[in-house]
Amino acid sequence: MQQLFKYFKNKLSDQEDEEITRKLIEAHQDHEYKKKWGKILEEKFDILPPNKKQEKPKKFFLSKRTALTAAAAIVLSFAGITWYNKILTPSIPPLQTEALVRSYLAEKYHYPNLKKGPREEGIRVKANHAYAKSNYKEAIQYYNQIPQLEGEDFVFKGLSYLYQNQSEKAIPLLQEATALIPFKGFRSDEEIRWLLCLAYIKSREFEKAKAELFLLASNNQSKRQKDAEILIESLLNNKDTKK
Amino acid sequence: MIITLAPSDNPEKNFGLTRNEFEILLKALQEGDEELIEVIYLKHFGKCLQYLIKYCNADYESAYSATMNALLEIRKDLVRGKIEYNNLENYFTRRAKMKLSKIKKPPRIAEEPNVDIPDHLDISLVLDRKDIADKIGQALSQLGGKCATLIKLRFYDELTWPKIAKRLHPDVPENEIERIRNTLSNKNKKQCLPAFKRILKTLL
Repeated sequence: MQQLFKYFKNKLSDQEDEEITRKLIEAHQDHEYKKKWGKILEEKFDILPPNKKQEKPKKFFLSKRTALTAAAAIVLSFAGITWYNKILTPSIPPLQTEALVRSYLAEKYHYPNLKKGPREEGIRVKANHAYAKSNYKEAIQYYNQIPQLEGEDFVFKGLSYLYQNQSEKAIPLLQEATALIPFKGFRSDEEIRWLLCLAYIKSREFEKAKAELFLLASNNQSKRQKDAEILIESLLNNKDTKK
Repeated sequence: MIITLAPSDNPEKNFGLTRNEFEILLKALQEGDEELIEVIYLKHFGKCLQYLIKYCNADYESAYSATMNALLEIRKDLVRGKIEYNNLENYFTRRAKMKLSKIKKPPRIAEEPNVDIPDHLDISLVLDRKDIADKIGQALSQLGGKCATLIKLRFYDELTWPKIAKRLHPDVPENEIERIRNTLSNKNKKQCLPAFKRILKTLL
């Protein structure tokens, strides 16, 4: 059982309870101060936060020989890593977890709204129809043509990648969707988090998956509570994914 | 424990503040007025940032983050009365430099005494998320004034119960503080903390 599970179920000692509360409050308060100070720095002192600051790339020069050596080293490292991953490391995600994720993804029940409405544009309708017909490659091409993706677009573009086993491309899109919650059109934010969990597991980012799964599992009203508990159990019981 | 800095009473090395001015602003900070941080320290944020970029070869993002994290720690130490007037500018830069070295070389868990939670789940993964920080904020605002203040003073500023009692009831005589301290501690344990957990659980 997780530390935060125990926290919410009042199964920790007073000292442990206070420690978790301290961490929670600190996370919030630090975030608030950073936000407030960042605004003051920007408005009064013209100091921009890193995401708004464009740095000039540093110029550096390499001799021809150094550049060739570096390139060779990179190629050899890649070859080494690939060999190590294929030959020496076990084929994770583990079979049981992988099978679970596959079965969850097989029950494809997330469909976009296919009706034309005032907010719908031609390309979006085409993208959504291609997605609904499981033409994911085509759907992605259409989604790429939409000038400004909205909440639901991020989800279905992400899912298109996920169904094509390109979870690493699905993750940033689903993350973007979670950042935009709440938005119109999608059933519930927990479903997006759930899909993000599946993408994390497929990408072998088990710790991130566990963190998200825990949140789903600790919410009694979540429809995904049971599924999240099953996946956590499966991840924790496997020696490859257990930390 | 009071952190003692290199002896220097020179206002030029203390953000232009005299000892007296600093102590007035410090007392105000400990009573909830953030001027010392928001006006004085933030004014020198850029100088510290540039120092890290120029002399520590830091990129902008790491330098900004290190300076911000140093300031968060300094604020906490100021509130807890752990920093005295003495070469404050240099101290700010040194703390930022230390933070920068942690960004460059993440410490091994064994070197960080208070973060080792014996659990499969690394709690920091959950807490690093912006939306979780927002949810905790929502829970605190739903909790309401007195409990939210109590929780913040106790768990963020890490003040002792007598200090919290004095802060919330500045006009109460010393002999009454012990009684108020017990009332606040009980209120926190029996009312505020359970309510905070209950609300946060529904939000997550």
